[in-house]
Amino acid sequence: MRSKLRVFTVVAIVALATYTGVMLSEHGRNASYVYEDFYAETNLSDLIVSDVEQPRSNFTRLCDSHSDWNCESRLTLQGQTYHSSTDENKWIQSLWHGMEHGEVSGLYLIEGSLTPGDGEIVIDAHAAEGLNYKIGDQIRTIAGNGTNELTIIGIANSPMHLWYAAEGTLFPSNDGYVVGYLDAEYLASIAGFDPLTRNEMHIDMPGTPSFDLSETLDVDEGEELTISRLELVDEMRSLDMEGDVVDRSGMTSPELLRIDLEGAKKSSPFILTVLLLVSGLMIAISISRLVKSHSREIAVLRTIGASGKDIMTGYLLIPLFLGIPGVVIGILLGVSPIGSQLMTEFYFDFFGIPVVIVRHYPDLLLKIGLGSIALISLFGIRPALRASRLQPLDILNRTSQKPPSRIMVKITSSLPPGPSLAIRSTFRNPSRLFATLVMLSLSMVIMGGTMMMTASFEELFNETMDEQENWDSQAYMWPTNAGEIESWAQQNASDYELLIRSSGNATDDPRVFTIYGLENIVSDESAMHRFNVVKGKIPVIGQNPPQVLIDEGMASELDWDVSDRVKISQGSAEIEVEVTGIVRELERTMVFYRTDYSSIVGWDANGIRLTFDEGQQLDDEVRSLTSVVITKKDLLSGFNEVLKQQEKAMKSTYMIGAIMAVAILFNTLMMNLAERDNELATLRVLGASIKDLAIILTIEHAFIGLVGGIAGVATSILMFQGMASAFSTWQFFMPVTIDQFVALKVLLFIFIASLATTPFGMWRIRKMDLLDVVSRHQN
Amino acid sequence: MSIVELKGISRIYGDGDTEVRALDNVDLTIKSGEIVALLGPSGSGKTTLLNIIAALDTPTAGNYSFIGNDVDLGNVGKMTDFRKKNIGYIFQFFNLVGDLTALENTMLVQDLSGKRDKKYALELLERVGLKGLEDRFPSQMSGGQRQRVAIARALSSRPKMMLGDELTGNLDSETSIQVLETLIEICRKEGMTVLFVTHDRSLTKYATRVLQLESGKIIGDEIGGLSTISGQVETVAKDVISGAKKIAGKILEFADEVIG
Repeated sequence: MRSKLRVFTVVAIVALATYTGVMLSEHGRNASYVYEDFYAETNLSDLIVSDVEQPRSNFTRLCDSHSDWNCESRLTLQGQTYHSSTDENKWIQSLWHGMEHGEVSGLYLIEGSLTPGDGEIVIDAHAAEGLNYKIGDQIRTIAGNGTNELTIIGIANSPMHLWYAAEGTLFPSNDGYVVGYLDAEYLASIAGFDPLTRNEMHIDMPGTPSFDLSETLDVDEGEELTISRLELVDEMRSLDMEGDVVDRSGMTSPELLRIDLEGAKKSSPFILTVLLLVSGLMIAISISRLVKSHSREIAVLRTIGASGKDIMTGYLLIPLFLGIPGVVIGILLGVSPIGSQLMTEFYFDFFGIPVVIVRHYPDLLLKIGLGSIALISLFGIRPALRASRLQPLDILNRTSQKPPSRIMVKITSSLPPGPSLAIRSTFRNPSRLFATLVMLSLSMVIMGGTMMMTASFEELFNETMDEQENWDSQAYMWPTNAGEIESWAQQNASDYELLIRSSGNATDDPRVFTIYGLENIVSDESAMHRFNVVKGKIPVIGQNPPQVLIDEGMASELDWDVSDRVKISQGSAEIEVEVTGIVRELERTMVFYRTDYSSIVGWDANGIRLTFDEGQQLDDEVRSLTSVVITKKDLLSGFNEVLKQQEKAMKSTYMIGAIMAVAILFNTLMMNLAERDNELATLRVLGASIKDLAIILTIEHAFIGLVGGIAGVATSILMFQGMASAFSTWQFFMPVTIDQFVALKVLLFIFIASLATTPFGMWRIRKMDLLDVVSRHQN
Repeated sequence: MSIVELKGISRIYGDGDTEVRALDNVDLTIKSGEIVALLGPSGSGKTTLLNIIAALDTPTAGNYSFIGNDVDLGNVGKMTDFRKKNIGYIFQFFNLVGDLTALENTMLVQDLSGKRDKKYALELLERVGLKGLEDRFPSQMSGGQRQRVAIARALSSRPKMMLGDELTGNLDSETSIQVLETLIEICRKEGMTVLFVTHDRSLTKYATRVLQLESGKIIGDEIGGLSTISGQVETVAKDVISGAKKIAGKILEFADEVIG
């Protein structure tokens, strides 16, 4: 039965590894196709030109010399939507797309119509789902001047908003953000502009040209597109347009989804390899044990003339016998409804992406299957070689096991024989102990690494979105409206702080960061936004060059440090600044004193942070003067929703690692029992009670658990560091902060799992046939 | 005084066509201090009988009492406790723990009984002729030395009865004699009862009683060689003492006459 259980464990682990591999790999390919199909269907633009609001003709003339381009100008404005529900009435941050024909970066119809007229709007499917909007519903909106009642005539998805996160946050939130699609001329009119005012142009080029990936700074994957982009920028400058041109790497939703998919694609072969390494090691240990228990038979076979090759062949086939059923079961599970289909559906359900076609890919299955079997087979070579090299006389003359090492004897000599035996037998087979630790470490690479990543992620967001923020609402407006809003704040808010927010980039690097000009820059609770200074110090106001803080992501990505004097581009201006401190922030951020920065941009403020007394909030009149209003409550509720979803997804990853670890410890226990049944039975005959043996077994497994736990924590930390570095991008930088509580949880998990296997061991010992075991062994 | 009393002990393995009657209604009484050799061909039931006396196996029928108390052979915990308190067991294949030294192996049983006595363990190792080898591991010893460690281990908790299953079966004849002599000598000095299973008739000379089993039944119960030799020695000794007393009397009488 013990052998059957061991075989079952090994086959189950191979199956789990293959199942996970199939699930992740097929999901990766399915996701690629989902995006490609969707972008093709909706004709996602290759380039987007954006600038301040101006006549449509300024944009369309950029396409005059490109007859093969399909160009469509657009007016995109920030706004707000009033939402009334049984729970609360609130204004929700919104974005309005004023579209012309919808041929470039078009919409995918879910319900209703895609051609809104005056007073009509097509609502993004995410918002319709999150806020329960139906065709025919009336919604109250703010877009520029005053409020407007609009009728929903359609529900649709846009390739620009599959990752449904409002500006200023990375977190998708279906009920905290409204995106609507209106007729361009109508939107311009209600916003107080000339009907032909636009601020964007979406360009579709022939085919789907490659674009430069943001993560590879040294290589330009889309040279052709870069040339077109730079030509457009030159043309804009010659026409006195100060805006920018971005390719798909500069479009938030497509870029975040691409990065996310790239991460999944990169991690799936890694996870599969880790799981297969564990399976392979387990098989190698099992074969080694088999060779040991067969050693006398091998000696007899060698004595009667069997060659080393004859012996080796049999053992080389074992990984195939164990691996093939495991791989087949894993593939069948992977293509079953609980395989890649479940994962892809869960994943796209989370993002709310409408068309999800799940396919299975024979080439991928073949690659995973054969690759898995090949990798596992490698682990049979060493034990098979050892079996083939066994010399008959050595085996037949071997009458007893080797004594423990001198060091081990020295360490344990002062202990009573029971505990001494427990510790010595733990280290009796150092290579197996090492393999067990390696396997546990590998399983913790998945479980512990992910747990640390999640904890760090939560910690980062809690800190940057909650603990550091002491405002209730923040609003952004035209600089010209700042004075009026400040007057309102003086009368109605308990406290406020004007700020400037804009964007810039390093002069030698195109990646854009957010620039803040703040009244107060402090690291204590007295500020609306508390800075967590990880290096350096707070800047001094009025210096030349101006002193600034930068966030640690920027410091890492741009290789900037405290005391560096660096040059940045802000609009068409080039500014030199001195970095005095590095702070922890969610987005790539540079922070000036407002007075320093206002002299650069030429205006005083375009944002305000406010705190209110109980029951107070921004009224409708003030809202109509703002373009974006963010409340901390909504921001946190969106974040918590994402966290919940993420935890669900992560739990399955934890489970894989946890199952692997338990299987490894269980296999170790089974090996231990198989190898020591004679010894344990002897102790029973000599009068050791089950309790006495339980103590010995518990000490052994506690030791394995402790050492395994420490190894697990160490590899979890290494994995987390690797993951943090691999997942860190310009948009999302993950600082490496080790959560000691998570490290303790990883250690305790292995320790407890190791101890939890001992009752099974005791059950096996209780069922042991003492008479049979004692009489058939020689020691 | 009897130490072991078996009444109507039967042990049947399997059922129907596969039924094997290893012991068939065995009655046996062993007195305290006896050294009993259990002889018989393979499959005669000698190991089964030994295992039942050691409380390692449960009989299908019959009663077993040890020093007048019934032994509960239906309860694993009580059987273990009984072995720990009363039985010293020596295996054919020594069954030493390879990770422990000779001394640690000897003390292992003491630890299980909660009676740690290093001095006694060292004394036992000296008595079995292993002085100076206390820190050796089983793999560093010969077969005979290992079995001596096994004897010391079995004795270390001062059991009331020693049981040996083919305890010399894995040793050459010269070593077998040495090992058995060592065991018998110590057990006699300690007044311990011994029951050892052997298929080697020549070893019965070390027993005071020889039981012969066949097909699960005791078919012979004889006085052993050791009993005969010791009887002769006793008679000679008695004669010598009696003669000495007579001579001494005569000397005293002569002295009285001379003095008087």
